[in-house]
Amino acid sequence: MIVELTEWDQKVVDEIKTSFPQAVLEAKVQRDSRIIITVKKESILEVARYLKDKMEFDHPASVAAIDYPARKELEVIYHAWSTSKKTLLALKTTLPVAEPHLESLTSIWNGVDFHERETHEMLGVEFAGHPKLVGLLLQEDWTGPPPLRKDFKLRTTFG
Amino acid sequence: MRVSWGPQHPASGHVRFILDVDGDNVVSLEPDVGYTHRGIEKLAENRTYLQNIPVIERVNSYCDATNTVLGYVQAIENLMQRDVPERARFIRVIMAEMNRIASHLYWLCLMSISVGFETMLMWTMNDRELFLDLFEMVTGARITYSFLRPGGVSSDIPEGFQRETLRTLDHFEHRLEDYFQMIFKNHTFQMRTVGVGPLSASDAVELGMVGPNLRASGVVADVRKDEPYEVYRNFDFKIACEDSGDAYARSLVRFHEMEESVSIIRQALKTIPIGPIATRVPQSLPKGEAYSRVESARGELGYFLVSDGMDRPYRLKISTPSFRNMAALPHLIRNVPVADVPAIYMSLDLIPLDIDR
Repeated sequence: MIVELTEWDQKVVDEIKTSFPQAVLEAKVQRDSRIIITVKKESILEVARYLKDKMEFDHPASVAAIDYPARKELEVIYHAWSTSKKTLLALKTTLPVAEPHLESLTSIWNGVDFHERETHEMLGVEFAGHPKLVGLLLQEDWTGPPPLRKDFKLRTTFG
Repeated sequence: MRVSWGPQHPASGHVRFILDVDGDNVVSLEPDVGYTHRGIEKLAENRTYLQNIPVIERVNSYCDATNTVLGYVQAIENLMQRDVPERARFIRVIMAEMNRIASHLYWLCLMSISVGFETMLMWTMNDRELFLDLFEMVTGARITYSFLRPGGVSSDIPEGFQRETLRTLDHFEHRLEDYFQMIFKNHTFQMRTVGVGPLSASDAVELGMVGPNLRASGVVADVRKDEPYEVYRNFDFKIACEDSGDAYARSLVRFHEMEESVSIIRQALKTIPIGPIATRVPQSLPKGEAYSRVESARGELGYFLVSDGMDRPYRLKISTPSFRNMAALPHLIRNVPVADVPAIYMSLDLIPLDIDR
């Protein structure tokens, strides 16, 4: 596998560190054209806006969340692609499970609308400011816990 | 008035659209999806990496099984930092491109029915069979192959495959010319699609559109060129692009992609090296995360894989092209005639299985 870091990737990391010294917990280039930026949850909106307007991450790709029961935390990860610079960004933040509130990024990337709805439904993340935060894939009368949390066990196991 | 279109409507697939109509005018549309939700992301957390292959294939099984599994095995290979033998990479590309053609033929069938042109249903399904025969020759299965493995492919291409494939491609290239005359030059088809559902380049990017839908709006983006995976770097091919962003442009992009796929398969068959087809890989992955992208028939397919060092994924997020392209539906279907709704919907090539996972 070719690991050849482009100058642009490093520039994004340096610039985001100097622009948001308080908000950014970690910023690194994982490998060629994969950038990971971890921020405090309060400042995700302003960092994301900066990344879109100044760093050209214009193409939203995915919203994922991961449940870490041992740490009692949820990690939310936004992926965005830059159509001009050909780089993928992972914007991460962690939330306490007891209070899984995060500001919605629909005002920045229009396309994350359905992704946030799915993450809300599957992992119980509450996105503040989302235009319509209701279920998407599960049945309408679903009353169980968010199914992608680790405490939701399947009845059967395999292997 | 509120009208439900689907999930039992023959053209809708397993998906419901809630249309607000005013006479013959559709004011707005809201998708209601999830009728085929199988919880594949949850199932994946409970199976080993190898057991997951047939499950993941069901994300989009009946159109595009190879590309769907390709993204998954690439995510595993990224995490393992393991190289795949050259011959296996060539076989993967041949299978992926044949699957792209089969998938686009399936789409062309649905698209032409939706505008009332049923001859193409017979033609495209007939020609798709020829490609399914080739899949059967290599894998023993016609739709769901479970053919790729982390580290390679499960079997080599058989004796006589090259000859058969070239014969099919020769025939298919003639058929493509027929298709072009028959449907793309067809006045009625043009009337139903030209200028219908136009999407601007900036909107397409903003909404996160992928694949032919994005390229039809004039954005040159193709994972095969942007981040060449497997051996796509070796081949000479163009990215099919249009500017107008309407249903006709989206159709034309897919048509030209079939031509490019034929060319890629020919080049791959000519230059495929001799060698092993798989390497041994460990059952458990190291800790870490990887995001792999492949250009499936419907566009960029992303797998976000997080491993905690065990033999099964800690979390696998699948960002499917149909799910992302669905964002355009409420945007495009706003103050359009009812008759345009199927044409716009089909031109986006949304597959409910792919949306719901």
